[in-house]
Amino acid sequence: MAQGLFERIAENPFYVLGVGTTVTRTDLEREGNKLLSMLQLNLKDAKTYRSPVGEHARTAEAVRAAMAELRDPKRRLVHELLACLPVTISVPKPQGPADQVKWPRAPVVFGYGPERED
Amino acid sequence: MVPVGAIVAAVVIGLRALNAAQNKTTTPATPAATVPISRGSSTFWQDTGAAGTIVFQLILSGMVMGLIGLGIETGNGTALTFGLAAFYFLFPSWIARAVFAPLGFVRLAYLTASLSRVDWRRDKPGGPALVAAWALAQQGKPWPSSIAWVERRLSSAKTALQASGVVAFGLLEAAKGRLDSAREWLDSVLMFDPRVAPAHVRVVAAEWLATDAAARGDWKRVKAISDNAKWPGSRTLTLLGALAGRMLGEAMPTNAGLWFWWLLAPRRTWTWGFVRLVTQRPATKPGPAAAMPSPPTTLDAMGRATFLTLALRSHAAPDATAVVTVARAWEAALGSEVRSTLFIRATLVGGGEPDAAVEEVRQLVKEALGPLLPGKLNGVSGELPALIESAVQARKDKLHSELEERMGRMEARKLGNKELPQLEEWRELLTLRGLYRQACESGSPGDHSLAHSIIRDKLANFGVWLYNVRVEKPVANAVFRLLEAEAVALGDSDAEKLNKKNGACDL
Repeated sequence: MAQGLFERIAENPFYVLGVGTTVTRTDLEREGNKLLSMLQLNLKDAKTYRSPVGEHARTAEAVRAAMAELRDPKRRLVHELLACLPVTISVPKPQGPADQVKWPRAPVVFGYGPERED
Repeated sequence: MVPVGAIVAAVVIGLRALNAAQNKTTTPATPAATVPISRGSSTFWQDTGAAGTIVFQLILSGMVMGLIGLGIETGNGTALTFGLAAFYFLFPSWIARAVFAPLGFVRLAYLTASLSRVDWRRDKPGGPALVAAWALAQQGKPWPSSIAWVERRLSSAKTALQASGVVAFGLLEAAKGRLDSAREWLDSVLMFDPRVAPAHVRVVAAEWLATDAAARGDWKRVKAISDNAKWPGSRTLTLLGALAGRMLGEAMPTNAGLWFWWLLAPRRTWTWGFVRLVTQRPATKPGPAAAMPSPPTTLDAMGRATFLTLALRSHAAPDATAVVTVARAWEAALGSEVRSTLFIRATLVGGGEPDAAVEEVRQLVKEALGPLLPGKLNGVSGELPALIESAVQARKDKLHSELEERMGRMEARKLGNKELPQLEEWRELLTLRGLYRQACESGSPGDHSLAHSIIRDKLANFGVWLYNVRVEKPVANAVFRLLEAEAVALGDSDAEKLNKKNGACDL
């Protein structure tokens, strides 16, 4: 899997399926199938999932991939390690300097090129 | 009526004949191979054509005053037309810079600047290309064909590369939207000896860099440029420096001072709004660097590490302390306790390899944090966590081997006498300098010495080759100046002496 640490946390199969790390195999299958049915019926509740970094789109492929990952005990242990942060906790952005005033038109004003975009 | 035209022609022909005769006496018996013509003189007064230029300019001045005066007095349109034409030939560089470039007339600016006999006398096509590239900067979205046109003029240079060519190329990079590259090229102007980087060239680079930094809100950089004595002063830079001072919380200049600098600066109508905004802001020092949020106390060690990792992800420019804090959190989380928990979990889920799982996560953390760690480990106290120590060492090794490889390639090129186009040659030097700076970035004397030992002799030899064989004297001089500065910083007196001697050779 070529994903990095950040992606592995945000797209953790436990978050995709909306289950805790101690869920049993049977409950996992039941929850996965329930989500697949809901997605097939185009139900709004199933279309997104939450992770500690926010809300993401949930697709049938992502649900199937998550179920497959968690069926393998070796893979499951790694995902358990990376899903230690409850989705209820949101991570605030680091507090930066309050007001960094920019002058994006400075190059235009002095004739040194177009306005800079962020 | 005095035949002014005939006198001018006779004087110019006479001076050229004199110069030709002088040159003939100093030409070696066997003609040298065709090499790029270097600047050849370090000052205007040592220039063999300087006397001719002065006479020519004086005669043109007389013609301008006489013909324009006559045209206005008698209402003679022909005299006025010839007078204005003479004015155009008298001040082509000024007309190109003050009229055609601000209006964005790229080709006209280039052609007019090419007529210059003073500013760009021995700096063509670099100088005219700079004016043309500056004209391009006035256009919101310059046409690719115009950029290519200027680039062709610049690349077809038969004279040695000087600061003007580097600034012109930097502006072209900016016109193409490659701002990082433009910054690097324009900043590199300071590598040249001021004799081949006159103030009117350096000021373009300095103002571009300062306005670019102001646009990004990097006021420290603006202040550094305006305070650096190596950059020439200008009214624009003074105003930007004053604005930067206020943005950085300095008490000076006062509002009155700021308005004074605004009054002296160009383009007052356009700058008025921003200066007003700054005068209305209280002078407050910028806050400290972004601090990492604290994880909730209810979280376990793994939760805390994950929390901090995600906080680091949303950090615009994480400093070394933030990265080390996250690495330490993972070191604490991936200890023996988590292994025991994983063994219990493995039993419950029917398999799995706890040690392999922990190792996989360790690898992920290493790969994620390693690239985020800045070269300078400012503010980090104590030992580095093992998770990033190996990343730091690996990065150092990689940098040194890249530096060695790049230097080796340049050495091989020198031995094989394989030339690169002059702009590519400068790019090679900039890449090498970039790698060298990165290798020294940690600030440790050991790293600095090691990086210096890689380039010390080979780069000096490369500079000598540039000087003797390629006759790219200004570029060679820039190499010697760089090496001299490094030798001084490291107290290497032999290298300092050698590079000082090489740098003193004529340009």
